[in-house]
Amino acid sequence: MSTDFADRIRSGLTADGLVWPPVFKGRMASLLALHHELDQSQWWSPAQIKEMQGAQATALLEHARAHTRFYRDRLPPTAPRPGDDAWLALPLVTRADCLRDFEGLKSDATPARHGPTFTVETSGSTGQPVRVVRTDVTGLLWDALRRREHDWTGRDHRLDRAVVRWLGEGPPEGMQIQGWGRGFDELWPCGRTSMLDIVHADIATQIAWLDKVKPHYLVTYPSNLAALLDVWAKDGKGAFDIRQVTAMGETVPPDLAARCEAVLGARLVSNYSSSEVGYIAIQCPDCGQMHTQDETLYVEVLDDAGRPCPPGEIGRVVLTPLHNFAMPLIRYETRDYAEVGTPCPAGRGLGSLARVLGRRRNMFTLPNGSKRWPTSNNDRFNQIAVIHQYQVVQHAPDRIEARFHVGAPLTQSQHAALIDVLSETLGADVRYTITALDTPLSRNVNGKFEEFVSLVV
Amino acid sequence: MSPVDLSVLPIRARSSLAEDGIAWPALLGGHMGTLMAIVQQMEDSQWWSPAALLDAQREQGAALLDFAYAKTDFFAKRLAGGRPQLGDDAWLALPILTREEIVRDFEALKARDLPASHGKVSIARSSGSTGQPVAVLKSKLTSLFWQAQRLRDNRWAGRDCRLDRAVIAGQMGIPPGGRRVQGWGLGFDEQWSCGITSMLDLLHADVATQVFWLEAVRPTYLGTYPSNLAALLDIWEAEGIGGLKLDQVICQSEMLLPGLAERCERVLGAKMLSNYSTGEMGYITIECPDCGQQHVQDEGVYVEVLDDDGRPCGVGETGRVAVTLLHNFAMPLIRYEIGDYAEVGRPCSAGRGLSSLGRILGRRRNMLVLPDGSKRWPTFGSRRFAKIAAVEQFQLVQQSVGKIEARFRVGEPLTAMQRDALAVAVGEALGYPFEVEITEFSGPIPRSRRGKFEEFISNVA
Repeated sequence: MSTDFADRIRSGLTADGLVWPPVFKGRMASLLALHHELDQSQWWSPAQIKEMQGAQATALLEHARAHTRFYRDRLPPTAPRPGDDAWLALPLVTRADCLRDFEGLKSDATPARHGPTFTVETSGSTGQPVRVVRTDVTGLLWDALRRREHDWTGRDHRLDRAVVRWLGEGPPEGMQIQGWGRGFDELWPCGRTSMLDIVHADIATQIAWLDKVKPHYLVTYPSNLAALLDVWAKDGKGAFDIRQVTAMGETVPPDLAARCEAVLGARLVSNYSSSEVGYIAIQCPDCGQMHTQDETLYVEVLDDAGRPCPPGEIGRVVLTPLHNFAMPLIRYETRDYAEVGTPCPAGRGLGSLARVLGRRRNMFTLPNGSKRWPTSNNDRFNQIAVIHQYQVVQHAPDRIEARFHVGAPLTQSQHAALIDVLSETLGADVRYTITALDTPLSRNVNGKFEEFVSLVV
Repeated sequence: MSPVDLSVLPIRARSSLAEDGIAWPALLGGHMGTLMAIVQQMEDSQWWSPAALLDAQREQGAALLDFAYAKTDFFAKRLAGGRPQLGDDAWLALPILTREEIVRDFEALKARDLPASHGKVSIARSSGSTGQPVAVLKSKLTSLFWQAQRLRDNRWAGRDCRLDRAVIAGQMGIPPGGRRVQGWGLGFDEQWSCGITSMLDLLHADVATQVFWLEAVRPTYLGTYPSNLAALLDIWEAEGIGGLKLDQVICQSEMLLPGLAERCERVLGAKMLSNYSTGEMGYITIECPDCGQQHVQDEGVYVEVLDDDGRPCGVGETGRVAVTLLHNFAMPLIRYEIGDYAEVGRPCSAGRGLSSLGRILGRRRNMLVLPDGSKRWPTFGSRRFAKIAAVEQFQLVQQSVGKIEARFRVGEPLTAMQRDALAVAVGEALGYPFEVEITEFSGPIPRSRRGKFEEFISNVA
């Protein structure tokens, strides 16, 4: 076999002499046909995409009104088109709605051809996890978008990957499986996937584990990557060749990609997804913005008055997954905030998010009532003292606490200098307190870490 | 459902689950899922390196040869010495499969125990313009590949299947109305709301009738033979194109005439594209949208261009075409010499790894044999004859090594002087002072049974 062997898909009918090109029947055929669809539709014009979202949304709303108690009276007899005035007048579905009326949101007649249903749970950064029932059709779309993400990031599935995240019940020593999961393994001989539960592994443990599994790709939270990069920058990286890191689950600080490139020689890519709906946005290989996955969901970014934000403005992210007929979520409020992006210069017609800013509780309210999204001060703090990790917590509009995991106790002058940086970036008319700890700052129960938390309602 | 705004609607597939509320993106099950899964793979594989494509072809070729050896009497004998790998020395030593063998050994070529997944078996016939018509058995699976290639052809050409197309060829609809069907056929109509296909039988419609018919059906795309396009262009050039708005003309089945694409562009403002296919083999090549060469459909066929010694020709060289259909297990056709000659092309400048043919030169019977034994494909324009007399159509037939019959369709009888001058012009065009016998036609020079027309036929080659 030539060394120039192509990255070939395995045929589903090899036993019948059909080796190449691969011939598939059933679910895999549908999945590959869907890949083909998505390869085309990403290049459609925004107007074309909106038109088709409208057609799909209408089918969803009609189903929801006919087959769920929750939407029976909530939706008008004529389904509004996404984005028009009647649509914008539809009330949002909140997390509280999902917790309170799970049964009412469930469809009493999911079409049989949507396949078996399954229930997912959010990781629940704060409070009770939300449960959502999904169908095999949404699973198929998820598989297809996983492949799109794969294509856009240019990864080679024959190589190995490692995932360090909250796994719920992962064994402390991590685990390994052969392959990259559904939608990949049926098609290609894939590399290994190694997984480590972040809850059981401090940074030193993770580094030792990564040295052992030697992945080519790493998937983890931005805060965890930052901590790994700190160690690798100081001690040198291990004998592995990480080519790409995928940031997930948290806001990506502006300087992280450059640090990742400098320390690891690896590209940082990110996507925006949630358990309730799957992929929301994937980073564009050309323009670098996050493109909303418009074929599978309708994404709105709304201002405080509930009007759509224009490019450059920040608002609440509201989602309508277009194909979940088992538990329709129509205008589901994610509690995330994002900045609306600009049209893709490479010509993709999909919507764009310039950045995902995180949760409402990551947004600070200043004493004058204005709101802002604080960004990382890591570099400036480290010029003052050895800071392993920090977290800034707003207790009241005029009271902010900065917690530092320090290498050595802070001197009085360091203390004063840190407060100067804080008041420069967050405002002078605030009372700052500093808490220095010699232990790592704790993560949320789902393993995620937030650098900025506002407790101001 | 609320109405969809058609003005912005993209060309999109119809969902298999539309009735269950999945309108978009289309979820395709059953046959359509299988078809579009192949299309998706071919989107990737066109960009593989030639070496990677050959690897994959060899794997599929091995499966075909194993099956042919085990399940057909013909190949049980032919492959008794071993089953070589596509293109290696043992492969090149494998006898060529001839048209005569297919006719004679039809039963021995038929496979036993075709796996059910290959689908039903049907019979496909080639036109056999002048020679022997040939029939082969094909599985439904080969039709799936043919449909996938048709979709590729359409995609490469950038045609919009929502628009109307017309086909003027042999064995089509009878004039004056021809035949009209809604849709573009298998692989298209299941997915899209396609335009109308209008068909007209070339054998029953002279060029004036065709022009009139085209003005009535107003297609965006026209499929026809090069010789017929040339005749249509003559009329349009002289009389104008009226309200016709053709975007593309797709030429099939005959040798392309030099300068035809330029004339088509100039007279019609339409792009001329071509592909190379046969009834028994399906698509062999499709014109590349980037490099303009004919790309071999390597995912479905293994094509060899062989010199007189049976060695593969190099780039720029011309040789006999032998085709191995990689997925037709119903009647394996391994190294089948289809009777055409082609020039080996260069690598695709846009990076497609599919192999290329520079030109398809036509069949052996279109090859001129000179008295010294050398052979070539004559090319000539009609203008040199038109300068001498009002020649509307011509055909040269090599009756023997030294003699050419020159057939001319003329508006009025030729004078003795014109006949002499034409005889000299024929010798000049062919590059040898042949004995020339002139036959005059007052009507069209007859076409083949399938409506094809060849300007040069040799009964010697």
